[in-house]
Amino acid sequence: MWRRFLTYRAGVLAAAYVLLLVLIGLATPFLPGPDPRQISNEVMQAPSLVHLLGTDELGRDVLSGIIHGIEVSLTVGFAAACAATVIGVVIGAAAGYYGGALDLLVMRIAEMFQVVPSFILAAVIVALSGPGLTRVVAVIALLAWPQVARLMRGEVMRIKGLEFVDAVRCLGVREPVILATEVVPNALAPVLAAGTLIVAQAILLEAALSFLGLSSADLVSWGRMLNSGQRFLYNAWWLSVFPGSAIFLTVLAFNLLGDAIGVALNPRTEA
Amino acid sequence: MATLLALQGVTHTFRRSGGALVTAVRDVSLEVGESETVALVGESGSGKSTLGRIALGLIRPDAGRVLIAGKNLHDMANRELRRERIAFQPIFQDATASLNPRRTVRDLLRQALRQRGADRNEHMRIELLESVGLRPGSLYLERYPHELSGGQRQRLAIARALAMKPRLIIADEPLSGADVSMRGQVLNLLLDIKKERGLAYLMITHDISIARAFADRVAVMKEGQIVEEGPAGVVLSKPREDYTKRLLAAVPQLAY
Repeated sequence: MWRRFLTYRAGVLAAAYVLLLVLIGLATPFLPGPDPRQISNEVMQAPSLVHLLGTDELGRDVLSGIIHGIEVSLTVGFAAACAATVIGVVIGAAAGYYGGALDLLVMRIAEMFQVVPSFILAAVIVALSGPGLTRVVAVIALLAWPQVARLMRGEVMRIKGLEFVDAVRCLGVREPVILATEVVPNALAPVLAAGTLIVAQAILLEAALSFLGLSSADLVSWGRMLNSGQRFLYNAWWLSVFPGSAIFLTVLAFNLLGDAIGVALNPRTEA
Repeated sequence: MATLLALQGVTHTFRRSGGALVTAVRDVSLEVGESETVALVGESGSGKSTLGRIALGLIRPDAGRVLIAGKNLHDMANRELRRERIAFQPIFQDATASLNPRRTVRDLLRQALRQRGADRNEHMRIELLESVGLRPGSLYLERYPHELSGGQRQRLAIARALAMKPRLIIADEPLSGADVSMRGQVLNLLLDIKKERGLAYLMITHDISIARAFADRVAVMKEGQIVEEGPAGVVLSKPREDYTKRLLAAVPQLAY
C-alpha cells in the first residue's frame, strides 16, 4: 500500500505539504513572531525583511496571520470531513446493504441536502444561529455527508452482489459481520478519497463564510484575511494574494492527497 | 442411498430491469444423494445457475421447498440456516470474483476454518492448500488472490470449500474461469476429491464432456424446466428428448 502511495509523486508532495501544515499548526503557540492581532504603526507595508509578507491596514503582520490561520482551517477541515465521512459511511453502508424502505428514506433525505445550494444554506444557518467554529463544522458536516453516503451506498450495492460475498455467506457468517468485514473494507477506498476532498471543500467553505464575515470575529482565518484585504487589492496586493494562495495550495494539496489515497487503497493498482 | 439435497417443485421468477417477469426456474424437482454426482446441463439462460443458488440458500424461491436432511432450508431461523448450510459449499465459475481481494490466502482459509471452529494452527491451512495441489502450501499463505494464476485461484476456492468439510459441493461452471490448459488439471482435482472424500456434487455446466467425465446422473434443463433426467450412461448415449440430442450434437468431442 505504501509502495503504491509513494509512486504517486504529486500525492507524496501533497502529503508532505499537509504534514508541514499540521506541524506548523501544532507548533503555532510556541513560534516566535508577532501576535497576528497586534496592531502597530507600520501599516500597509509591502513585503520586506522585517515583515516577510507585509502588513495590513492596521499594521498586523500577514505572515503571522497566515500561520495562525492554519489552525482554524485544518481544524475545521479535518473535523468536518471526519464527521461527514463517519456519518456518510454508516448511513450509506446500511442503506446499500439492507435496501428497501430504509434505503428509500435515507436517499430522499440525502437528496434534500444535495439539491439545496450548499453555500447559501450554510450562510443562512450560520447567519441565523450566530458565528462560531463548532457551528461552522457542524454545518459543513451536515452538508457534506450525503456525498459520502451516496458513494458508499453505490459501492456497497456493487460489492454485495459479488460472488465472494455469497461464498462467505455459504460459510455461515452472520450478515452484519459480512457487511463489516467483507463489504465495507472493499467499499472504503473511493469513500476515503472523497473524504479527503471534503477536507478541501470544508476549508474552502470556511474561508468563504469568513470572507462574508460569518465566522467568529476573534479568530484569525484565511477567509477573514481575504475579506479585509480585498478592499486594498489595487494598492496592497499582498493582503489578498498570500491568504488566497494559502487557501489555493491547501485545497489543491488535499485534492491530490485524496487521489493518492484512492490509488494507494486499491490493491489491484500496479505498483 | 440417503438423500442429501431435495428440491421439490421449486419455482422462481425474476423481474428484469425493464419490468418484464422472467420465470428462471419452473416447478423443478431434483434430488442429490450421498456421494452422488449429478450434472445439471443446459444452455446458458436455462435457469441452471439460479437453481444452484436456490439450492445454496442464496436465493429464496417463490414456491417449492429446498430440503436438507428433510428440513426446508428456507424455513429455518437464521441461526439454524447458518449452521446447516455449511454442509453445502459452492464453487463458482469465476474464482477471482469468489475470493475477497483484500484477504491473503492465509486469511481466506482461516476465515473458513474458524467458522467451523477448527482453525487451530498453520499446519491445517498448509495441509488444505496441499490437498488441492498448491505445494508447498507455505509458499502461498502470504499471497493475495490477484497474485495467483486463474487455475491456482480456482484451487484455492476449492480448498476453502473443503475447509468446511462439506457433504455436497455445488459447482457452477467451475472450469470456465481457468484457461484451457488448466481445465484438465482442475477437473482431475475435482475427480480425485470425489474419490477420496466421497463427496456429492451438483455440477452445473453447459459442457457435456464434463458431465460425461463426472456424472452418475444427468438432468437436462431447458427454459427453467428439467426436460430429461436419468443415469449418465443412458441420457448421454440414448437421449429421449430432441433438446438433449441437439445439446449432444452441438458439442465437439474433446479429450480432457
